[in-house]
Amino acid sequence: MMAETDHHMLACSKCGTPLPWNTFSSEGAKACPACDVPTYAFVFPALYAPPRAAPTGEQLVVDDEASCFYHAEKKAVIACERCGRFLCALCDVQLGEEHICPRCIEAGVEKNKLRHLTKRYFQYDNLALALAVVPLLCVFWFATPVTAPAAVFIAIRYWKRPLSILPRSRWRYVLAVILALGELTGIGVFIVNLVKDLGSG
Amino acid sequence: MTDSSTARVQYRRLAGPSTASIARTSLWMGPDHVLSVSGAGFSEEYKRFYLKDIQAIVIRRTSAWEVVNGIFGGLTALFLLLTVLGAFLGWSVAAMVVDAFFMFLFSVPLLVNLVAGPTCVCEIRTAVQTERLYCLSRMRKALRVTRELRAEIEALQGALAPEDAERLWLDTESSAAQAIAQKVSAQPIPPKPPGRDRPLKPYRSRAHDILFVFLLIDMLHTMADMLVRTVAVHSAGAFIAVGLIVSAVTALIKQQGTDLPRGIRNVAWGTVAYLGASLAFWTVYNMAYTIQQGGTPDYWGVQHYVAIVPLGTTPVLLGWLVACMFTAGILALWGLLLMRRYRMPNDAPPQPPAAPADDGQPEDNRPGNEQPENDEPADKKVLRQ
Repeated sequence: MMAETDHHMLACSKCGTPLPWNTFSSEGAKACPACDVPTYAFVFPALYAPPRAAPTGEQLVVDDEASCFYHAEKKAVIACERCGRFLCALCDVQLGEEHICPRCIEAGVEKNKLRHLTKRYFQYDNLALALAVVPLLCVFWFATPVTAPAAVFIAIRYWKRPLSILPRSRWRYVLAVILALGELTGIGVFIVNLVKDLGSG
Repeated sequence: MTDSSTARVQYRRLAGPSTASIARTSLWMGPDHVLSVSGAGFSEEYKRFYLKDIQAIVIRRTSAWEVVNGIFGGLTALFLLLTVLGAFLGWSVAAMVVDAFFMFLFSVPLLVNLVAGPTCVCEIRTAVQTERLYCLSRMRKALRVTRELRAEIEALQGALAPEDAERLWLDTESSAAQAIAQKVSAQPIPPKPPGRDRPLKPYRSRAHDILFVFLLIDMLHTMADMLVRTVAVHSAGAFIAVGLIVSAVTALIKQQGTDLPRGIRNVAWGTVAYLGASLAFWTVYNMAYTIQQGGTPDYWGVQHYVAIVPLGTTPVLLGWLVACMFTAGILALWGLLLMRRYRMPNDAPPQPPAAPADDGQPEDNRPGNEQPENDEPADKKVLRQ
């Protein structure tokens, strides 16, 4: 029972002592009874809400009823809006306004197709910019024949790929390409002059 | 069919980006959730807290602001003093420029920290996780953002008035409240660190007062030593040092197992660190002097030199004495202030006994206001009934 009700309790984030109710939702800071640290605890009704019961799905009663694709013994209540498979109440996952099956969710997460569930984005624009800039700032300037083409390649290859779920412009790609092209031009001029010098020498 | 799962969600920035942790963090408000973004290197990670699921937001004040102010304030003051002294003592322009540069260097973070305000730890809690919001590391910003979030959350969940919180806590029919009450009563209050089962004794010694007075004398002596360059004045420092060491050791012994606040204990330990640093400095200084004089150790020769050498010609010695003066002064005054605050309730005229705290007012846990039995706050006693 104690473990069941742990989620109703709010503890001091420093010493772990349960905070008494008179420290909740106060406008001013109240001291933790144990460590005396001033603490604001804003509590909302969800703290006292009972845990939501998960739907288990209704058992099939009649043979000609549609059954769940994943649980043959359970009654289908809806079809997945992505793959069309029949789903029971247990397998039906509502995501925004869509009803999706667990397998489509898994596939969507893997391919970063579900914005509601996206947990991570790789930022190729940062990588392209770093490849274009870092060799110029550090002593790795001799690496520019490799890093500059790599920066251009990444900028072109991943131009259309989403970079973030937040608003993010593509100016880093543009800057990376300009710098990388400048570096490549510099390398070209250097090679031409070197060849000329060797030819005249 | 509209693919709502892939449609772009509109976000509004709440806080950040901040670099309070290793990662770059920010907080955004979505249509029905709060998005915490942390980015390190070339990737960005997201955590969503749906407004309907948020149970609590806890903001806890930390002491980092005072610590940073103390460190950078001390360093700024030190280099300011050196610059001013250099101007009076006719040091070279280059030395003064270096001092002024360091003063500026340390004053910038000091000012930034002062303007940013007190520091805090802010945590957001749902039924399945408690997540620290690193971008809310200053009280002012954390309270502003929390005010915005509260409005959004309460629009969805409804507001929980203090009396509701009280009812939910104390409702005997609520199994949750009963369990919480049992858990609270089962827990030792205040919780003791592991391995410390004995109850804390009230602190009755004067060892800390003596230690802080010695520190004050040390500060005054250092000041006198800087102004009056004689062997007699300098030699008096040896007696003060012995007094400091004895009183520091006594204070550390006496504070064991007592209810002395952590701040006073820290000042005592700070004094030990100060004494250790002094010992290290003079050891190195003696060695350097010995090497300079051809390798023959001459303790009294060093003391004589230190006592009479004009400070204008030895910036290292001057800097050290100024630092000692500041450190001893700050430790002494801070310690005396904390001791005064600690003893204040005992000096006050006796108060009439307070009514049982069933009105939700927090109890004062300072000495002199102790509960008759095991210092238990009154609201927790109510829960046991």
